[in-house]
Amino acid sequence: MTSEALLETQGLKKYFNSGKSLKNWLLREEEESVQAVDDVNLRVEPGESIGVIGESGCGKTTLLRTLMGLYDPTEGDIVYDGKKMSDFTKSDWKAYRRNIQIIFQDPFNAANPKMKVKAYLKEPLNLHGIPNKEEKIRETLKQVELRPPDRYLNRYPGELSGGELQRIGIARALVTDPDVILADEPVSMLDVSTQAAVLKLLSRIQDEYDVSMIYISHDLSTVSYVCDTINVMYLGRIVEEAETKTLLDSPKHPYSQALINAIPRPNPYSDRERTQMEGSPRDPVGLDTGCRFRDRCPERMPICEQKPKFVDASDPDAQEHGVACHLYYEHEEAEQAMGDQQIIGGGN
Amino acid sequence: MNEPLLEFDDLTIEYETRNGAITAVSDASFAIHRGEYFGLAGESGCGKSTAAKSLLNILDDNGQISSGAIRYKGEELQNKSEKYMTEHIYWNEVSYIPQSSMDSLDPLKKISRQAVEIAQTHTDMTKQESLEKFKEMFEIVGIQENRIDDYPHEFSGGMQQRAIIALALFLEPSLIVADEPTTALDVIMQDQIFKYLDRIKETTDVSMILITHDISVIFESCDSLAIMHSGQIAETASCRDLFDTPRHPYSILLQQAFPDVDHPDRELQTIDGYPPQLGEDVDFCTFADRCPWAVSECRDAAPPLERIEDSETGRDHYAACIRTEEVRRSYEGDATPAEVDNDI
Amino acid sequence: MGVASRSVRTGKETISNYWQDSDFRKALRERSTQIAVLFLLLLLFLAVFGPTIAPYEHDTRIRADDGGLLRLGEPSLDHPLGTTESGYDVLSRLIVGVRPTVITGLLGGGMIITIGSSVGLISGYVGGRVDDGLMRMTDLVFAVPLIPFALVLVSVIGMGFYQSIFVIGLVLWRGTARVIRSQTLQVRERPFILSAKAAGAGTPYIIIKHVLPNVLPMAFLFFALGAGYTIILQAGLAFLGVSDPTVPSWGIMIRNAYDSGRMLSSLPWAVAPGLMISFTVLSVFTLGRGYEEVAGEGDDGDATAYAAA
Repeated sequence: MTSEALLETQGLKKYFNSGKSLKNWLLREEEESVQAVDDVNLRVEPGESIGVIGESGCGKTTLLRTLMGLYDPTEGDIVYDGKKMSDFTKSDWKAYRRNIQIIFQDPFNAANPKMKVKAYLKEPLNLHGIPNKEEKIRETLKQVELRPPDRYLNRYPGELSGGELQRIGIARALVTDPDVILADEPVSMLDVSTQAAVLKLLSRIQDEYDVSMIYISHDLSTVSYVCDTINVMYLGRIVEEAETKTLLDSPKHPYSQALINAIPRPNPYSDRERTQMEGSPRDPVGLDTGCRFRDRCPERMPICEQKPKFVDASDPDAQEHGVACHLYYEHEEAEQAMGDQQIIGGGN
Repeated sequence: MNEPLLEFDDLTIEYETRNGAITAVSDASFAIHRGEYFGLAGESGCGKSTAAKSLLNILDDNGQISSGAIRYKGEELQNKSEKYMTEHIYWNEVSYIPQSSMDSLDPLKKISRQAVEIAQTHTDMTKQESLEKFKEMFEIVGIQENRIDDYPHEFSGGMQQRAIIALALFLEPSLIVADEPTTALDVIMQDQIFKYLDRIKETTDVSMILITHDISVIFESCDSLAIMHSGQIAETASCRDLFDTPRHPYSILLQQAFPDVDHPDRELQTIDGYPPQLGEDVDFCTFADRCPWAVSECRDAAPPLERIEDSETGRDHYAACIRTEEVRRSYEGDATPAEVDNDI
Repeated sequence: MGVASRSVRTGKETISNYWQDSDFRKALRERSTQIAVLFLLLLLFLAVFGPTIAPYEHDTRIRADDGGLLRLGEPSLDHPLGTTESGYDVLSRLIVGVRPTVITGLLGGGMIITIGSSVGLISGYVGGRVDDGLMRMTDLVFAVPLIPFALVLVSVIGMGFYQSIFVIGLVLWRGTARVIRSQTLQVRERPFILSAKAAGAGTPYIIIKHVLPNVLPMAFLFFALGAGYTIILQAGLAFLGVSDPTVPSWGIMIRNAYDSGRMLSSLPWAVAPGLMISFTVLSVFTLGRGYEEVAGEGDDGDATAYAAA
């Protein structure tokens, strides 16, 4: 599978300085940085939809904003259509802003409350000088199942329901005919019955518009409905990547396993065991290079003091399945020893 | 002793607003037994939170119970004064875990102090006794005992929630009312908390009303449930009965709308329309406009809760629908509502 | 080219959208607001037509029956509020005084919110060093005591009616700036701002098209307050002799009454302008407050839905 990625990140890192405190300055300490995104490699191909799953604090929001171009990467690159973001010219940025669109989590706040729907949908068209605005807006409203369009054009966001607003959010993302849509928890603030409708809409849009999607969420059950591939993120790193079914059937990373196991099933006869996991993810501050899950991992080994490589752990006859875990690859003697050494030396 | 611990009997709650009265809960009836975990499910605005608040007499100022009764251990509570509630009910009979639990702890006081204050307000326990009990609770919810002297901000999100559960339990109430206790938490944290709630269920006699929109959580953690739609109880039964033999259209459609991580390919059920805005008199089925089985009679009167006979678990099963027969045939025979109507 | 001209165009659209908004109309439901608005409309009317409909010119010397000047005349049918020491009709001067008062309010209020909002918006949205710089400047202005500053400035730029308003505007924008800045900081975090950025909008566009409409209610309130303060302070400055004495403002009237030494014996002359100032400022504040209460309800008109949850 060597097709060109439409959008990808290469070794993407985004660290934030937590700000020098007086204490830092006096003691001449290094400021600790918040390592929100650490060496993330994502790729999405034309027409593909990938999910990024993680709990709060895993860095997915930062990842999204960096993809949007709101943050400058600390290290690494974002590559769109073969060109690195750091090399973008002004017109490259214009094209990027036209072709990469976003759907936000909070439908009630994603649109300016003082702006009518019509103006809200027109805005991206105005900014990019796209013609035939009236027609496009009407067409797109029909696509997101808001019919007749005229009923919605002159309304203010405050007059509409969550489901309607989210459809309008989707319409706004579609109106410039983008290549990639970044969706930030698009259904988490909707009721279940509305969720289903919006998820189905997203699925359909993907097919009909041939647009790629990067869907970010903490809710694996909704993500699995929409996405072909899922990346599991923990404390800034991708720990597993696999096709949806493969991940759900046989997760390999201990974190993925714990996560999938902890999801409640809509079935009173479900006999799954409650999680054995204790505690919660650490703060992503001042982390060393070792595996970030090791303090909670039931399979922890000395070698885990070292950063695990992202390796192919596919089962035979199964789809590609990548994991960042020492359990899944052979280690040289020297590496093993180094791991032990780090533990003895009081590694963190 | 089959008398229920808590009974809601034809309860109606209204809010006064500038635009007239709004009905939040309409003729709601359900019962909870001792040692039972009971889920109150429904989407936003269905009235589940309001119903719970009315039990504790903590409705907003413009809300009031306009008819019906709430019976706790046989005694009617809806007209009791706040003084009575404080002396007899709060914390030592019924405790409450509110929706935004993060705000229910005083950030300036150590948790132990808050526990002692609660104990001394509602019981005759000495400081020593209350601290002892509280430590026991911490153990049950899996937090180290020495942490009772910490301040709330020193706990992580999940631990704060468990600390609040410990507070809610240590005076040994008979009933806990938990309003969306894990909604803001990550899935693993949620599971941790329910692990302890399971344990509490096994070791004590306490009952719980769990209010949430997440039916999966209810199915896994509760014995029975009631599903509400726009102020009305649609169906109430044991979890297994409702799962095996749902009788109300909303129960069926709602379950099918939840994505299931074990079956990611399954088509999700969409439910048309929105819950209606309710005015003063609710004399129709609030689900009628969204219901594929609805007929004109559904809008003529509010459907009464009718007993469903086939209960495997022995727990009463009621559904508020005048077409449960047709619904059953459709659901079991896998025919569409239209086909059933035309007797295909 | 591009963004700047677009912003101007969309700025007009913003204002027209705004007035169609029902917030303003909602505010008019309150009785107190209605009365305030009526009074202010009356003032506006008088500001335009006052000098035409006043019974006398403001500087017509009234003659008594004996041919001499009717000084400090008692209230009578011809002169309901009496006459001043110079023989002018008090009522006429009162009516003619509406115009300078309204001008003061509009100009002063306008200056205050223009400077204040611009500083607040830019400071709040852009942040960083720009924010630091602008806020330090605002702090400096906060330290300035108004009346002494006015006196000093007047010695530089000269006395005068417009100068006195200018001086007030130059100082009083500080409160508006702080509040608008804090509002801007809040609005800036809302997803729709991010959405506009992601769509490729530039900073001036976002400030004018997205932030401004959402802080407009607060700006309007501060316009009302600013207008009120300017009127009072300008009257004070006029009383102190800093303004142009030939402009027949109410402040000057009080000054004249004071100068004559006869304030107690010719009460209508002394009290009427003071009362008018009070009523005017009260109406302006009431209007501002009435609007603020309504605008504070926010974008969720479905507060009732929340109640039922």
